[in-house]
Amino acid sequence: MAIDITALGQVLATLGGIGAVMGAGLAAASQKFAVEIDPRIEEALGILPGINCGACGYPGCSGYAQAVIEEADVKISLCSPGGASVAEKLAVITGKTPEKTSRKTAILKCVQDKSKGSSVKYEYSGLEDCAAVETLHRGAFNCTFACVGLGNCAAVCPVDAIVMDKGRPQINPEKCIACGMCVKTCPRDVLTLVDFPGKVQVYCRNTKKPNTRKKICPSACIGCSLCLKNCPWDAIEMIEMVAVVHHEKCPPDCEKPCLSKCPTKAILGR
Amino acid sequence: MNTFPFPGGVHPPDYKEPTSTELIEVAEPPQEAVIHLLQHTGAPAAPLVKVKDEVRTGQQIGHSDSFITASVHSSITGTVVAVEPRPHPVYGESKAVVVANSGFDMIDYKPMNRNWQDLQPADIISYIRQAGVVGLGGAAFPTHLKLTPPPDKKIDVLLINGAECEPFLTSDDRLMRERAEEVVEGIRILKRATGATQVIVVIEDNKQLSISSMTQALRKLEDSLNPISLCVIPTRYPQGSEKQMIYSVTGKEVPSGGLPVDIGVIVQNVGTAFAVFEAVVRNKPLYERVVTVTGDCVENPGNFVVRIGTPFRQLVETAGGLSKEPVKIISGGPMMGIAQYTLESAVVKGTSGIVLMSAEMAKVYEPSNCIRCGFCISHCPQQLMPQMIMKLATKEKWTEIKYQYNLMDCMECGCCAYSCPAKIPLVQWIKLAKYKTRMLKI
Repeated sequence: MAIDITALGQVLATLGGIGAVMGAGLAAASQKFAVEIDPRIEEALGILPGINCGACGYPGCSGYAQAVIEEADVKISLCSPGGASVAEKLAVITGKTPEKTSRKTAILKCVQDKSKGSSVKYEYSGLEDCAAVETLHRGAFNCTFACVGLGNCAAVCPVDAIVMDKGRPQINPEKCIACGMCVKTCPRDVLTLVDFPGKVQVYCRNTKKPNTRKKICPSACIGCSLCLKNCPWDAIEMIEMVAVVHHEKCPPDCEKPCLSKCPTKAILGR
Repeated sequence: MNTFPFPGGVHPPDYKEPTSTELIEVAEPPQEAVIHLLQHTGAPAAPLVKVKDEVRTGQQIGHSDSFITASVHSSITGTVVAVEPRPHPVYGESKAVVVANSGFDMIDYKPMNRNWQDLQPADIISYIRQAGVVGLGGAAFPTHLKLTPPPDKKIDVLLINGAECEPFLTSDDRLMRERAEEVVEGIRILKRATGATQVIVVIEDNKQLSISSMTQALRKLEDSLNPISLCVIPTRYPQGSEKQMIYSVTGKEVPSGGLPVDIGVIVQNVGTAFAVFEAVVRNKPLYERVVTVTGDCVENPGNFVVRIGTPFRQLVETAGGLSKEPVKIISGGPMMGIAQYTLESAVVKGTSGIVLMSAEMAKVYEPSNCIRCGFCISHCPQQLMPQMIMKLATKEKWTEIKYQYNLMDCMECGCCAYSCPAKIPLVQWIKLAKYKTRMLKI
């Protein structure tokens, strides 16, 4: 079969011509309608860790990068995975003054453990979702403050710092970036963010009558006030008959008498 | 009468034989009554009594100034021993007045035989409110509010729900058979209170004896000017649901997110009609109701008139005790009822029955993957798409579920989960989605 050279030439010329005109048009449009982008946004995005965890409250790292550059009142310390180093670099770009931040980590404020005798209301079979069991008579455990233990926190953790072990989330504070996703997803608010590394904490939130607490959970804070009486620094307060530690009063070299005096081991130095 | 079949629905085995032949027995008042202050849809009542107070049967012990609420009355005579949270069959735990029985049953109201024909509708509604009558079909919506529509709406049609489509339950069936005249009197009172021009008693066609006893009672007490008609509808679950019943009888659909009164209809249960009769004619507050105790773990299943606040444990003893170990205890019927974790829960106004199931009856299936067969969609009486709601719930798309897939129109009847060949707990997904949208304020 012979190839018609003239026809081929016409086709190439026509298509090439259309391409050239279109290209010129696009080039002109990109000059004329160019959108001004602050180059600092790109730079800020490079500094941010890029895991899009949402801890800053913006949709992903790019959202925060844009907000921190364009809006004067957005703080530079909102990126908790990046911590102080990212805040310092952002301070250089934005010219905002860095405020003091401390590294945080998530903890589970509950010591309940089925294997240690925490009492159970019923055997649950159904959706593996903490909120789903929460809707059924407020959870399968008798303690309505306890971790329901179906692992919604482990599922949302962007860095796999939470691992479920026998129905209890185990949080690795080294891996935790304190993004707060687990805190938001928990239907019981049993997870909280605290200063890293963990200081002395009371791992119980049961505010029911103190004499009922130990019946349903052997590790509950029973409101005996022994920790408070033995604390030389007045750093412990009883709120609704549950001990609460005020860390600002805790000296760094304390021998932690509260730990050894607690009869149920609800207070731990993890 | 012409009926309009509603879309969807299922035919579960009804298991009504063990109790439908049992006469209603009056149960002994409990030694200790746990009377919940939240027994109705709306705001909980505040206690009017304190510990060590003496109360009498029928004495008002709970009151609230909120709009949507109902009064609570003591069901036994005795001493208040505690006002504290106790297990509640629906809400898990809620504040209750615990009364220890003194052994003497002294009533606090004046029994009478009031001539309701002389009363104005407003007076009838006020007597109903004083007696704390709520819808006894299960949702426990305060009856006096249902009878008082907003001023711009008018009630034309009053439907009396005698469908009792839930498997196992026979309390309404027995009430219609044994107390038909009282129920009809109650219906006539409701008719006067609402001013409805058309009153229809609706019964499923598997309750032939109820149909005949109600027909006789209607004939006997008939008001020749404005007869009350009786409509027999085919047996299909969830025929007893308000919206499905309205569609079956009138062919009208309740608008999405609306109330039946928007189309000029209200539905009252036969049990409520009986309670209205007792409240208005006998001057008796609502402190007892008919409860079916059934299931394959009960020695002598039956229907009992029990005092509100009777613990389930005593209810089971009244029915002859347990014949085998139950693995599942349900307050209400198996389709829409709520599984209980303790027999310490007490009867509330909305408890129509308790079902105790053994391991072989309450089989637990392992869910598998959705095969997109569409059975849940074709069986949904509200014409929703449960599998799409489930799919989107796994992706946490709560806004789409609520506004594009009409989550709030679901009444959790359970037809989707019942028909699902993959045994996916679709109703639980829907309940989870409702919980999430409530928590996230979507």
